[in-house]
Amino acid sequence: MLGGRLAELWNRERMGLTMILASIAVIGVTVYLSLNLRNNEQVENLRNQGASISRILADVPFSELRARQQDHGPLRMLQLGQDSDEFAYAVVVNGDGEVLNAVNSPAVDVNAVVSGVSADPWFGERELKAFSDGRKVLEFSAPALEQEKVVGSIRIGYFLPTLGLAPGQMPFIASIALTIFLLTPLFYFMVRREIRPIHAVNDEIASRISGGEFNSCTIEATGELREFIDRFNGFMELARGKIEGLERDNTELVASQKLLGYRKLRIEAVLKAIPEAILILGEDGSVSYANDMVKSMLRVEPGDILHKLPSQWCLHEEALNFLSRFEKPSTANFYSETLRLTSPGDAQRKLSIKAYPLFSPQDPEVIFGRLVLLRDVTREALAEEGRGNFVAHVSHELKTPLNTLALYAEALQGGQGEDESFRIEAYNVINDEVERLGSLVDNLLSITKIEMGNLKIDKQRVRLHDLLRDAFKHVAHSGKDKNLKFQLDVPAELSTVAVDKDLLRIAINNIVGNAIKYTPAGGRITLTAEETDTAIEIRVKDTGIGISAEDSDKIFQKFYRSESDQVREVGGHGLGLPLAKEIVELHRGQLSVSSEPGAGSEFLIRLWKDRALLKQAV
Amino acid sequence: MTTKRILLADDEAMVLRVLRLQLEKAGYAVETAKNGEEALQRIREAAPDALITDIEMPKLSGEELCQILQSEYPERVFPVFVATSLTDVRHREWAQAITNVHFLEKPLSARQLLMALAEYFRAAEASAAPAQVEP
Repeated sequence: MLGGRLAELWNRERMGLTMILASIAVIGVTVYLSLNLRNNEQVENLRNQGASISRILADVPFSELRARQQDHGPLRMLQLGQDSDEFAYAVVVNGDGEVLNAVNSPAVDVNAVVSGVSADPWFGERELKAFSDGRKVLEFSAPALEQEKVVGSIRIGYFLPTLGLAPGQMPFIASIALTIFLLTPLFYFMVRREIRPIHAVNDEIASRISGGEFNSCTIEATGELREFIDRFNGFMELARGKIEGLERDNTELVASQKLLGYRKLRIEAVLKAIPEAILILGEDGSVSYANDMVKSMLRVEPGDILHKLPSQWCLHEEALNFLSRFEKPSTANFYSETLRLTSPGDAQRKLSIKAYPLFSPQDPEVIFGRLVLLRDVTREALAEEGRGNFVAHVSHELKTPLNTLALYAEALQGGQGEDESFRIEAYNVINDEVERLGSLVDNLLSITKIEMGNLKIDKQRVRLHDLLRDAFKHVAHSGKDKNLKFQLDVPAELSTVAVDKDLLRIAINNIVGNAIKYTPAGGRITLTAEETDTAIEIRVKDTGIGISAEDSDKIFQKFYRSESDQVREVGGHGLGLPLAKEIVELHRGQLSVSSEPGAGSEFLIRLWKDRALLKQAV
Repeated sequence: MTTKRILLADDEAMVLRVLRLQLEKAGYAVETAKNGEEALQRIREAAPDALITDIEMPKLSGEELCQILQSEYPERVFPVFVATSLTDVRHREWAQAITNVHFLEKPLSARQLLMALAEYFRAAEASAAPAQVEP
C-alpha cells in the first residue's frame, strides 16, 4: 500500500524529487569541500608555524633551553604565544631521552609522549597517533646544539585540527545552502515548464494507444519536440495505411472463407443426397471422404474410416480385394466390377463398384486419388434374372400350344386327314389350343401392363350384381360342355363400388375359368357375394380336385404349374390366377384361397367399400 | 425286321396322342409317358429302341431323365431324341455329357421325326451288319 503510493509519487514527481535530492547532495558536497579547505589551510598554517618555531628554538643555546626550577624559559614564552586550542606540547630531551624541559596542554601527558615515541634527532615533521582523547598530533622536531654538537632534541606538538564547523563559518555555509535551496524549486518549475509539452505529447500518445486510434498528434510545439511530433505523425500515417490494407485483406479473406464454407456445405449436401455410396481415396488409398450411404453399403460408419486404408476397415473381402489395389500405385484406368457379397448377413447382396481416377487440375498426368461409387444392385440383378426367366417361360408357354397345333396340322395334311373322327378331334384340339394361345397372350399383355405400371385403371361406380352376373354367365357358357352345375347367389341390393369393370371381369373370368378347368364333370361351381360393414366379399367355390397345401402357396406365382398329374392333364399356362390377384390388388383388395384336396376350393375376393375404409384396411 | 419300340415322353396329352398315331401308322410300336418319372419307369422295365422326350415336364424333366439314364445305363445303345428349341443353348450344354443324344426342333414335325428315326435305324443297322457276317 505504502510502497504503491511511494511508487506513484516517484512516477509523478520524480523530476522534482531528483532535483531536491540533487540540491541536498550539492549542499552537502559544498559544505564538505569548504570545511576541508579550511582544515587544509589550518594544517598548512600549523606547518609553517611549527617549522619556523622549531628553527628558532634550534638556535637557542642548549643551556637556555633547560628548565631551571619552575622557570621553563623560552618554552613558556612559546606556550604563551600559541593558540591554546592548537598547542599540544613543547619538550626538550637529552640524548638519553630524559626530559629536560616541557610545557604542555593540560590534555597531554608529556611523559607518555616521550616514552611512547623516541625523538627525531634532526629537523623533521611527523604525525603521531592519538592521545588519550583520540586527537592526532603533528610533531616538529629540531636538534638541541651545544658547541655545535647535538646533545638532545626539541619536540613541539600541535593538535591536528578536526573537520568541523567553526562558529564563524555558519553564516557563510547557511547562505550557500539557502541559495541552493531557493534555486532548486526555481529550476524545478523552469524544467517543468519546459517539459510540459513532452508530458502533453506523452499523454496524447497514451490516449491514442488506449483508444486504439491512429490519429495525428495535434499538440503545438517548437524545436525538437515539433520535429518529434512530425515524425510521430508520419509514423502514424504509415501505420494507418498498413492497418487499412490489412483490414481490407482481412475482409476479403473472411468473405472468401465464407464463400468456401458455403461451397463446401453445398457440395457436401449434394454428396449426401446422392443415393450411391461415395468414397474418395487419397494417393495412398486412404479414405479422405465418405458419405452416409457408405454405412448401408459397407456396414461402416463414415467417420470411423477417415484417413484409414481399406485393409484397416473394410469388412467385406470382395470389396477389400477391389479397393486394396489403390493402396499401391496403380494405373489411371477406370475399374468396374459387380461384387457378390458373401459375408454373413450380406449374402446374396450385389454391389456395383466403380473407381474413377482423379487427375490433378495442375498436371493431368498426375493422379491424386480415386472416386469410388458403390450402388446396391441386388434388386436390379434379381429383376434381370426375373426378366430372363419370364422370357423363357413365355417362349415355352407360347411354343407348347404351337407345337400341338403344328403336329395336328401336319397330321391333317397327311393321311390322318382322311379319318373323319381324327378330323373332328383335330378341329377341337386346334380350337382349344388357339383359345389357349389367345388367352395366354391376353393375360400376358395384361399382367405385363400392370407390372410395368402402364395399365390405366378406369374406376367407375358399378352395380356389382350386374357385373358379377354377366361375367359369370359368360364364363359359364364356355364350360357348358363339361356337364357342370353353375349357381349364382348375388343379392341385387349390393352396394356400388368403384372398380375397373373390364379388369374385374377378367379376374372373375380367370378364377371361374380355373374352377371349371379343375372340376370334373358333374361338379358344381358357385359364385356368391355378400356385404359386410367394411367390404364386399365375392366367393367362387367349386367341387373340383382341390389344391394341395404346397401348391396353394404358389398358385399365384406367374407360370407356376403343379406337378400333379391331375393338373397336368388339363392345359394351362400359369398366368390366369396371378393376373386375377394383380387385378384385385390393383383395387386395393385381397384375393385368397382355401381348399381341401379332393373336395374342392374356394377363392375369396375382398373389396373394401369406400376410401376411408380402404385407408383403414391398408 | 422287328418292330421298333418307341417311347414318347411329353406332358401334353395331345402331343402324345397325335405322335402316337403318326408313329404307329409308320409301323412303330409306341409307348407313352406323361412325365420323366414315368418314362424312366418304362425304360427300367424294358429298354425301348428309341426315346423321344420333351424337356419341360413335371416330376422329372427331360434333362434329369437323360442324366439318370447316363449314369444308370452307361452302355445304353438306344438313342434319345430331345425336343427343344434350337435357340436354347443351355440344353446343348448339359447334353454334351450325354451319349447318343439328338435334338428335334420345336414345333415338332412328325414327318421330320419319322425321317430322323428311319435314318438312325438304317445307319445303326448298316454299322451292325458287317459285325454279323464276321466269323
